[in-house]
Amino acid sequence: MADPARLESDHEDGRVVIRLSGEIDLTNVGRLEEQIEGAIADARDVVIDLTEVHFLDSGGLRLLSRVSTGAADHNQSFVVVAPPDSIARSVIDIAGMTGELIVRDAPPGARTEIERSTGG
Amino acid sequence: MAEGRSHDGDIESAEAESKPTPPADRSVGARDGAGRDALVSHVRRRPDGAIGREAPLEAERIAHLAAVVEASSDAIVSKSLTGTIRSWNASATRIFGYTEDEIVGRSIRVLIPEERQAEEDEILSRLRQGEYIEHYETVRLTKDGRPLDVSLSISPIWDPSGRIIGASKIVRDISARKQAEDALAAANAKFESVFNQSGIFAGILDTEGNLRDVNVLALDACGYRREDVLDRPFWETPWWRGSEDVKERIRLAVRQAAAGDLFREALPYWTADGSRRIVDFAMHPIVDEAGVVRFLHPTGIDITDRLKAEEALRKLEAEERKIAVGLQRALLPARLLERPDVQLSALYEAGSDVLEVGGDWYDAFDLSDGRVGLTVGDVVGHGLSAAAAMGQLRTAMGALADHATGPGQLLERLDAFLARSGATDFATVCYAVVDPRTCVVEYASAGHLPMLVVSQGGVTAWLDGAQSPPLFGHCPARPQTSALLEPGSLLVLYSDGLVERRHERLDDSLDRLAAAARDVADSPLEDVCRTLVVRLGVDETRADDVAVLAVRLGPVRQTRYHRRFPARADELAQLRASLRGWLDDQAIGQPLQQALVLAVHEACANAVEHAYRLTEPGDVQVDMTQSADHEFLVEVRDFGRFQPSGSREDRGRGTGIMRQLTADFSRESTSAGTVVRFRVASGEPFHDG
Repeated sequence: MADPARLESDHEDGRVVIRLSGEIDLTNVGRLEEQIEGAIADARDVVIDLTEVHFLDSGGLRLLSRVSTGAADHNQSFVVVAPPDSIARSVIDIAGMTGELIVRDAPPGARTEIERSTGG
Repeated sequence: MAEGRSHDGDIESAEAESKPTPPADRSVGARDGAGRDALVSHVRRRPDGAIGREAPLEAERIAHLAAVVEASSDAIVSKSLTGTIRSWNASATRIFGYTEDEIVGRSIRVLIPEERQAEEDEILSRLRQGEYIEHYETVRLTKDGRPLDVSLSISPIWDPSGRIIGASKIVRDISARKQAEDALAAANAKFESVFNQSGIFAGILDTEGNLRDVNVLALDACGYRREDVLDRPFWETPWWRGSEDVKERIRLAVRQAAAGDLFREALPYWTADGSRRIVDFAMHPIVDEAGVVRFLHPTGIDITDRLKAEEALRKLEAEERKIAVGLQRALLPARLLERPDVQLSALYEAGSDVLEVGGDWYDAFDLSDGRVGLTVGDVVGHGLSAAAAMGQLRTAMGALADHATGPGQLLERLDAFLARSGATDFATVCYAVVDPRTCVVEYASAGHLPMLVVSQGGVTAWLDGAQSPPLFGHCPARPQTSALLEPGSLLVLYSDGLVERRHERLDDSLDRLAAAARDVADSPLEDVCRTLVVRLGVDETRADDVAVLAVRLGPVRQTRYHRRFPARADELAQLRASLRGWLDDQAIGQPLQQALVLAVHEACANAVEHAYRLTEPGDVQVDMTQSADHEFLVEVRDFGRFQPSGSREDRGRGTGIMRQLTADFSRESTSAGTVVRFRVASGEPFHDG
């Protein structure tokens, strides 16, 4: 079993921040995708934070791609958070998806969030 | 003239006696004894038989004779037949202490001790008969009452007419001689008693080797009589009759001792009834003050029974040792534990000088949590009981190990076992639990020497913490402690027979062990134990057993990774964990690890998704070799038939990642399956941390 990937989400003012952690591979991609779909249904802005993701394979990338397309279809903004030295960022870079996705170094919002995520 | 008057009196008494004839050839000289009296008593029988009185013209000659008497060193005394002292020379004064004036005219009896007065009667009676008394040894008294050993020579004095008128006496002081004789007699008596009463055979030979004397024991114990053995060459005496070789040894003994050298040898000898026995034989030269050999002194102690007893004891000890060695071999591990993650090697040697076997042991066993228990112990004592006690302790330890919370508690439990079983009085033990994956060693020691660690870099350290007293059945609380070792380290457990030497401080011995261990740190493990034993000089001086257990922490540096697993998605996480673990052990940094793990995962994920769509489920096989410091060659193989699914774009992502991360990427599909090969040399774009 993969290090069970966990999903947490925050809703605030129409923005959903989904924090994924653990290992994302083809075994849990399907489950995660359902959970994500459910969490972002009514959101205006979608943020998926991959800071705590320790493994991300092509299946995970495909998931991100699908979420991105779906958000666009629903007029939702979609941002991926992956700090520069994080594993997720490296994988996204290798896969050449930095053009396709909007990748941020840190979650949007207050400085406190940045401190928390980089200090975590 | 006073002498003349008393002389007349004596003549009267002499007349009453018979009249023996003085001998013709008696010359007057000293024997006459009475210088001045000789004027009257001087007698010479002329050749024609007539007795004539000498003319006063002889006075010169007589005066000369008087001077001779005075000069004599013997006391010369004359007396009348009633015992009255008539003359007294200077030596008499010297010997007896009386001056001439004091004693002339008194009775000779004043010189005679009370208990010997009867001697004088006897002497006088014989004198009257004309008898001479020669060298009569007796005791007389000095003026101050001191008894004196003397020798008397007494002769009668004749007057011209042939009558005995008195006696002259020569008194020789023999006290010095008597003392010497008494001392000699005492020495002889002592010698005799020693000679005959000591428990050894003894004899005296002359320097030619003839037997002159022999003691009672040598005869009685062997059944010989004196006449059977004396006065012949010693080598021809019946004790040695049974062998020409032995006779030759005796001849040699005589020659050697006659030359002044002691001879000593255990030899066979024969008793009268024909029994052959063994004697611890010696021939001593007896020398005088000048160092000249005067006698030869053979001695012997029968050692026949002692030799028999020693032989029997030797046989018994050899038998016991055989049993103990056999038992100990049976009690030691038949085969040492084998595990892929630690290398183990052990050696046991019994003490070489000692007849008995000690109670040393070693052991290595699996624990249920995957760790390894290691131990070396030493039961006090030797022989069968020590070997048996050792077996019990070893077995108990193996049984208790899994149930103890740690090494300290295990030793406490072992102590309790010792108390219950009474197997032995005490033992020393060291016990270590090694986790091969983390290289953490938990250990405790009950009075045992510290374990030695040598890192691959050759740095030595002693695991000398957690010491408690030896096991002795009273179970004090025993501490334990841990140490973190480097992968590839060598750990050595040993018994004190390996290091302890007489005349060497323990610290020096331990230094030698550390030096030797540094040298073998990289040797094949099976050579390590033997090399240590040889290097530490465990040879002729060692009396104790040696047990050595050498452990090399691994895993053994593997340069090849191999894993085969069912092609199922849920296997992939375990694959990644296994890969990471292996790469950690190879000390590969994070960026390269992540690149490798992702690349291999993608290849395996492909096989999981596509290889067995149309066939029975099968396996995926990963082989990875480290081809250089930071370079790996990978083969991912499946045994199905590649059947693509999903969109090209989807598939492309995985392949795209692989191509980005790797070099020399190839994929080859045949009917037997698909092989993906690639090389990963860089961790880019991954980062540390």
